[in-house]
Amino acid sequence: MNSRTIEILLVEDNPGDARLTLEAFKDGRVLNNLTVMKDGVEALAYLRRQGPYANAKQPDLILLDLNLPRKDGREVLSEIKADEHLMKIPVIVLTTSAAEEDIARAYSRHANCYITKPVDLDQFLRVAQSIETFWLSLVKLPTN
Amino acid sequence: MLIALLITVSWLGLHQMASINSDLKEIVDKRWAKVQLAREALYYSNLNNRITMEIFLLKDKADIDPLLVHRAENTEKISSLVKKIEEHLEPGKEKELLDGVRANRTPYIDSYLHGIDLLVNQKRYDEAQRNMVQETLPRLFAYHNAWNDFVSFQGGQMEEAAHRQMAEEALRDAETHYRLLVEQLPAVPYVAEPGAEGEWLYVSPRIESMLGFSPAEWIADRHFWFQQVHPEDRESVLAEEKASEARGEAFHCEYRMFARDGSVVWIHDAATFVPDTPGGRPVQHGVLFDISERKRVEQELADKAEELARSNAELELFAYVASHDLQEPLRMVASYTQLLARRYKGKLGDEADEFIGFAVDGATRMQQLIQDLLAYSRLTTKGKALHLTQADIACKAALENLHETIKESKAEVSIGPLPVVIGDATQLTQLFQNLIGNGIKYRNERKPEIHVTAKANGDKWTFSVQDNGIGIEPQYSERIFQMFQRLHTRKEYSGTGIGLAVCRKIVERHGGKIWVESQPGQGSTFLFTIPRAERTEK
Repeated sequence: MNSRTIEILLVEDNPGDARLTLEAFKDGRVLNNLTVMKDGVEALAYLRRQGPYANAKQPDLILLDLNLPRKDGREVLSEIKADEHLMKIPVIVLTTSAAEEDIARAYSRHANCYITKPVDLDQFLRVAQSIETFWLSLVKLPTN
Repeated sequence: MLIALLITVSWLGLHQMASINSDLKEIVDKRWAKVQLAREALYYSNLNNRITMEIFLLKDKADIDPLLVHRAENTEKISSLVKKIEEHLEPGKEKELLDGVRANRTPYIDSYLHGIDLLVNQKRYDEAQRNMVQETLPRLFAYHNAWNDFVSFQGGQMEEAAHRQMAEEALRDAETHYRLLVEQLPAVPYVAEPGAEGEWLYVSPRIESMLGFSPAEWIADRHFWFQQVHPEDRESVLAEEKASEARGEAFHCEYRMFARDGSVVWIHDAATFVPDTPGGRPVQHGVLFDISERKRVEQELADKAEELARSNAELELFAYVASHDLQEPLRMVASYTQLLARRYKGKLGDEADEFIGFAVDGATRMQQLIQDLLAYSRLTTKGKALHLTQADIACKAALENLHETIKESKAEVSIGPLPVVIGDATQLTQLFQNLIGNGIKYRNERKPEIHVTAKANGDKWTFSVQDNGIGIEPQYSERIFQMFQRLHTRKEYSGTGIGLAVCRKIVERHGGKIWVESQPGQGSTFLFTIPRAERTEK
């Protein structure tokens, strides 16, 4: 089992959702540190350690919402996957949209997986749990 | 001597007369045959009275066919013709001669010869000889000549006249025919020189009812046509005219013209280019059609299509809004009330627990409604193209999806042979799934039994999904297919009431109909039709 703290970047503009995700991962068995960025521009600045984020840690996993202010999630995804320093970081699209075109476009932009946020809290907690089990425990992630 | 002479003369006379008679008969017969032909031709082609009458007159004189004489209206003509015959005859003898002619022409001569015989026998030789040589023979010759000439003249003239008349009549008939054809067409034929300033040589009087202008004023001004063409269409009309002329093809162009009252009339102008006319100038032979009504319908259709496209786009936008923007806040309500329930259940009092319960339930249901609505709207916006699909595969896929439900309810589902149809496999699966799922859901205390069958019915297949459940009151058999219409409380049977609305939409998209046959307590049979796929064996 990985004993080091897993760094997760959550790109989510809705504080309610951010909080919920935070709550969900708080109870997790894996030690994790969840950082929240509220829009696409901020998220990319963080990832590229620009401006105030010069000392930011590179995340092991990115949870990305699609509909974001300023630069939206689809663009953020494209930029991450086009950036050779960032492209290896798994990106989990976590969004309310179940639209087929959103799903298709996310995968064509090399999203690592696509999850629709369930409305039910229990289900949502299960999703968080699954992410943790799969991406943070089962899967071997590249080391920085 | 005298006797010998007389005999000689008699013989001569007899011989001559016999010969004359036979000649006469032959000629008359020949002429008459011609006249008969002409008469028939004239009679059947219904030519004018003049000729017909001459024939009738002749017939009357020859006593052949007086039946048609009543048609001889031109009495003046009759009398002049009678005169023509009579002036060749000696006074007082006309009746006799004509009587002779009437008696098939020979008895007259016979009776004359008989008279001569009598004279000879009574030895009135001189008288007989004189009578014979000086009176009878010349008279017979005269009659012969007159008759011959007359018949010849009349026959020839009639024949000629008949032919001329027939030709003229035929021409006139043809002319009338074509003129009527051209003028009564529900279109406007024309002959005109090409180009904006081409002279119009002919335009059908129908132009008046089409555009309100008389043919005379239309033709008078060589700029008239082009001036009436809508300014926005002028350039394209001339360009098309030139292009088709260059290609050597017929000219077809649709353009707008102004009528006299200023209204716009849509015209289809179709013309062939005739480069070398008898007049020596190139012209167009064309027809103008009023296609305003067609254009109006076309415009209406285009408007409707545009409207439909717009409303489809709106629906898609709505679908997206519903799928995302609407669910976002809803999810917050649902999640946090649930979180509230989880963390504070039993800590805020029974009432608080109850309130939280209602809030959670409401949010969950609303979420379901939105998702159902979205699924419903996507049936058309996201439906796949229809192609050959095996209905039994679709049905089995539905059973797969219903696996848990079937197991749980111990339902027995049998599927008969199902055909290949033209359809959307995903939607057909959903259709079977909804109908079979309903059959299981609306069950009574009996073990659910569901039969899926299909049978050919003319040009379509009728599918049926029969269950042994609670059944439906006949008065609700329409309502159940409407969106969000439910017959039961959520406590009795869960669901939003979208299932059958989805079924109907799927069936309609496949070009079929869906209905239910049911009695309460007797189970329900849902039937739907799908047009039969063309049997293409490859």
